[in-house]
Amino acid sequence: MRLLRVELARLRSRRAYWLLVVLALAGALLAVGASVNDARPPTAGEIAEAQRLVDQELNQPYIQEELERCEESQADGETELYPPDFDCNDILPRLEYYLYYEEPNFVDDLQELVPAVALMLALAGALVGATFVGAEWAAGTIGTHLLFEPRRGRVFAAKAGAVAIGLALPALVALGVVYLSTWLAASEWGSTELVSISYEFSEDFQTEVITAVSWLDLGLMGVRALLLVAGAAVGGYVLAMAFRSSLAAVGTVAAYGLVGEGLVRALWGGVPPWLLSSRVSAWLLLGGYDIVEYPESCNTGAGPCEPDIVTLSALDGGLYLGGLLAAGLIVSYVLFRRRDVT
Amino acid sequence: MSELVIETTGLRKTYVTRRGRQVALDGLDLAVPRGGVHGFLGPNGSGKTTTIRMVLGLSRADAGTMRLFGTEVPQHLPSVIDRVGAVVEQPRLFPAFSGRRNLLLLARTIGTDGKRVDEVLETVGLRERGKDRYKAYSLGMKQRLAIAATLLKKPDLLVLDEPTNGLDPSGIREIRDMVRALASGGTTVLISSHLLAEVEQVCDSVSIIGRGRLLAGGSVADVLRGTGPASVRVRVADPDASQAVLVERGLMVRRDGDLLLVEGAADAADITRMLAERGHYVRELAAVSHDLESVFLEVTEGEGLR
Repeated sequence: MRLLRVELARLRSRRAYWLLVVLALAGALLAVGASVNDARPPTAGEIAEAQRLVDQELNQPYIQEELERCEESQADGETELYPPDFDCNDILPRLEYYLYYEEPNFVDDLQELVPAVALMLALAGALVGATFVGAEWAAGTIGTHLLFEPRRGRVFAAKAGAVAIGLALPALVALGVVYLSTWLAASEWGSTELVSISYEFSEDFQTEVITAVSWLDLGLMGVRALLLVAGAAVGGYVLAMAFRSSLAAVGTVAAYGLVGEGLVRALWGGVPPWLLSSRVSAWLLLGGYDIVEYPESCNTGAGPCEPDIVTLSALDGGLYLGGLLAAGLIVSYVLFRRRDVT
Repeated sequence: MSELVIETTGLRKTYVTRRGRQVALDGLDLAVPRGGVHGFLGPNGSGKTTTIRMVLGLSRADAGTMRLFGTEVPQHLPSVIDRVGAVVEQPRLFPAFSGRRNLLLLARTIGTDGKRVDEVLETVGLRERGKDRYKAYSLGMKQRLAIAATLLKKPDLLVLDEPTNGLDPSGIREIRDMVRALASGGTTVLISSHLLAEVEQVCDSVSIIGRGRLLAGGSVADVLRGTGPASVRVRVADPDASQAVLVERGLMVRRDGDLLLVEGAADAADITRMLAERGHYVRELAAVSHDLESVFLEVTEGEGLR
């Protein structure tokens, strides 16, 4: 515990830590602010402005021309341009087209915000973890530290614990703000009903599926987000500890982003379930993550269009990410324990 | 209680580099006695820093045994590390933190408080500069701060690896005075250095290593004696004839210009007598004593290390 307290004190003394945490929190607050702003019903001024745009659009000659064309084609019984059951008034601009307003829904908004904020904090966490120990290797202070505490296992664990706790605390604050603001916005202007709306994929349509959600589900989503942030911080630490360089650790993450996520997605022509992004989504989202792939027949119309759906549960995501982190911790620790410290 | 603070037996270490395997230590036997200042000497690359690193648990030995205060290390290093303070190669602390902050973090690691930090800053004369950032310190100040860090533990053994490297004469004197003060206070100090004159001024005993092996060791007096008899410098009117006389009487004589350097005489008076008996009279006679530098050069030359 003494070592952990020392490492936490050192983490708090680092400007890089505060800079990254403040940046991540600012990003989280921006996301929350944007979400609350979207949840707010349009003001009288915004409605008036939207109405002005509708009127302006209505006065455009092409709108009237298109309306006349639609009515004429329906009168003539032509179905080439418009189907018989098409309502020609749908051509006319409407107020909601210019208001972009959707009533807030607590569960749905939370499902959007929590992963976004968690990913921002996770990125900051990985950088904090990598630079925290990378700076030690660069300055050579690991050796000095080992002259005071030669038990490398304890030193390794204390540093890993410090970055995990050091990121979990600001993440807790950020997620608290997310939950509270989303609840307040939904209760003020929308729905706080604990239901989740998802879509069932089928051959030619998407069916809306409404699922009841409990507070426990929502709480666990927050806990998973928190663990993701702490895990990312430890992941950054593990890489920098293994490479003995924060730059190498950041480079590895960037290389994975480019090759692992970018290139593989492009070559695969979809989203492989073993990609980190797939597993992170599964870990964070309520009800897991569906990877849907449509066969070629859906485009050509030759044959049945049965989508191939792979559902990754939170457990699938957790086991994968946890396993990866555990393997990284073991390799990094063995390297730290066995290699000479210069 | 062991009389040796550091003891290594058959210590081996090989580094694998791009140029192949480099033997850093080749069965080193080292014994550092308790008390006083011990000089750890050797040419660059002889294995001094490697030895220190291995004894302190920073590097792994390929073979051999090491003991600190009689305790086997690295297996039981945690039980004795609190008795050892060390600065290896160069001071390594956080550049962006103040000197005091650096020490405070190290002090907390061993459960010491801020009061002790102020004490050691006072000891090394950095109390007034404690709040300055470490990176703003001069090399000498960094060295002093690193020594202050080692003193946090109130060590029984202080290991200083090349402590005067890069220091100006006043900095060297400060370190020397500090080492003397610590040694007189009961701390055993091991100094690894290549500045032999400096080492000779403060050391009570020395170990000289080369190519990873011990070449000479013991008290400074013993090491100086062990390199052979002291020579005597003799000035005479006829050096050639006098040299012949002395060689004839079984002494080893070398020429140094007009002077004779005579070795092997049990007593300097024997030389004056031998020469006077043959009509050569000594104009000047002086004992030439060995210093650590000459011993160092002699033993390292003998091993083909220079």
